[in-house]
Amino acid sequence: MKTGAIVWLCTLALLALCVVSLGTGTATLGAREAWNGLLGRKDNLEAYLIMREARLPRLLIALTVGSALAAAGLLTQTLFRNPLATPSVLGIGNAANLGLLLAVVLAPDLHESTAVMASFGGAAASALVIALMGAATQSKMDGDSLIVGGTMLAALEASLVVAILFFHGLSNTMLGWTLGRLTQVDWAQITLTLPPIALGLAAAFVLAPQLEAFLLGDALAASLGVRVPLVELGAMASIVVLAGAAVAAAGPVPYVGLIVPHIFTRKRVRSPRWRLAACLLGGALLTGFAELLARLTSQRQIIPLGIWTMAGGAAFFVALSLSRKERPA
Amino acid sequence: VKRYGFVLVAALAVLSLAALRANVFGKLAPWERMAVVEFRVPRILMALMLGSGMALSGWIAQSATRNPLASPEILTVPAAASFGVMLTLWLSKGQLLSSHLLPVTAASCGIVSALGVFLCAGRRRGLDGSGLLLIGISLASLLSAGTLFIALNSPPNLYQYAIGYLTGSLARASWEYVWMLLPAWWLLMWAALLARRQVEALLFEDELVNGLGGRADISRRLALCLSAALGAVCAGVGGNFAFLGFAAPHIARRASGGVLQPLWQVAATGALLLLASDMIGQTFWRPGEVPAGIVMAVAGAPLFVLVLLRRRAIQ
Repeated sequence: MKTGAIVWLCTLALLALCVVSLGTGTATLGAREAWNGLLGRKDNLEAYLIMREARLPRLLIALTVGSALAAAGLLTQTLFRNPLATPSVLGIGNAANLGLLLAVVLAPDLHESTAVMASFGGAAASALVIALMGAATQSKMDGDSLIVGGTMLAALEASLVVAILFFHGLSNTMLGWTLGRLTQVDWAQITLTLPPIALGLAAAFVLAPQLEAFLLGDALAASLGVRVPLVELGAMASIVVLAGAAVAAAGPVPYVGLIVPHIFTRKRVRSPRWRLAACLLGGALLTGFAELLARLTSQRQIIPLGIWTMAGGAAFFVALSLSRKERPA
Repeated sequence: VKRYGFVLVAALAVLSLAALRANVFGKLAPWERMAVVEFRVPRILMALMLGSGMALSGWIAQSATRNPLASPEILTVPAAASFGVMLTLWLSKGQLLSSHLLPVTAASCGIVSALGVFLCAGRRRGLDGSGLLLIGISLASLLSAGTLFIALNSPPNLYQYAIGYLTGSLARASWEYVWMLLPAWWLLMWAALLARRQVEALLFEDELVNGLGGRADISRRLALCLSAALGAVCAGVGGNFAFLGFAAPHIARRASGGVLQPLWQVAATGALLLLASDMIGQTFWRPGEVPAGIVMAVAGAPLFVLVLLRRRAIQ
């Protein structure tokens, strides 16, 4: 499939998803009512509230979180030259979650913006630890030791999250905290998380072509005129911002950052910037779809979003890799 | 390498004696004798078997895929074992027919799903590299999504029980489980020792292995089957010790300093780690206990990072 076709297909699918997602929910609304509510006409107040205060913000957050996670995953995989590296593998996602949880537990009545800052703080601290480990091991930022160390860090943070939830008697909310949650979304949250995500995505678009040269190795990249330390720093910063903001908005949604770049492989989409764009669309599609499914299947219990990103993404990926034999490159 | 071996053996002996928590060389009161024979000895034996089994399983997976991130986890073994346990509990509505049922279903689910990974990945391309890992992670996600879905749709006490069963813990050690584990463990460890040369050869490029008269593809398949079986048997009896299978080979490699360390050292490192974390878990939080799997993740991770850093600094 051509790049253009992939991008068009994804865009169309995303639009269809938006329509379906806005049109379904526990409350049944007619098409006209829903449309009027969406446009902000207050003649039917109930429809207005449902559309503008519940469905629209939730959809927006799901889409932006998906894009941010997919972009962060792509950046991490390229930067570390490892197809399995994602912010969550390196412990950045879990650290953001831990920061957020600490803020919520230590100061229950703090402002939401502070909680978002705590999430960024966690992500940045974890990235700093990884950078320090890289410096201490004398190797560059690539290298298996670093990935292994990051995995350990992630395991440690995850168990700390579980321990805190356990000792505060929050076991019943545990699944949400470890698998992503999108149950209470409001506009304040969107205005807090959208700007950093937009910033991170802009940086990713600027850096994408130069990062691509990293795959050849640092020395070759430098000889191609890429300023290696600068690009490395920029990519790390944008990974931290993207992952931190995504976790602050929806918790650690698993699997999106890992799998979306593997669906839009380098063979399928050649140009680095188009590949990033395709990943954004794909990530948004996956989380949007998962959010819809999570809502539809939640009856007795709230089903966390992460269950459906894992199930849907994995089913799609396995089907994709079985459906066609890859031609040898 | 040699010095590390001595340290390992000494530490294992000391810890095992300490874990008995009784002066076995002196006279024992009857209740003490019962506690030692009925509870502590099987527990120590389980720790040794599970630790060494998981460590070797991880070592084989890491060598055969040439990927330091590999562990039985990428063959979906723990995820499938959890799924098996959850499904069994759900279908039987908590009324288990036999205590053998859960370990056996968990282990067989693990093996079946590892075979599924081979089929999926082998159909597409070779089994090394990221193809296998990605398929493995995907299937594991699918399975854990299934587990969670069942869990959320069943009574909370079932879920609690499943979680208790699945977080790696030695609390249910008994002679019954030891006898159940022993034959499978013995057979698989023996196979691992026999296969050692073939697995180590896989660390080279495939072309080189084939050129030297080996058959890289087949031995990789067999090695991964062995790793999956070992991991599944351990997960079925002891629950998920994924961290152990992942970390023990790294620790052994870095602590012993050799390129190829003797296999028994890898196994002993795993056994030592599990025994130590189980003791820590039993000592704190009296009268309850913390599952060894959690102790290992919390205490083992920083330790592991330290080992990682120190080794590199020396080089």
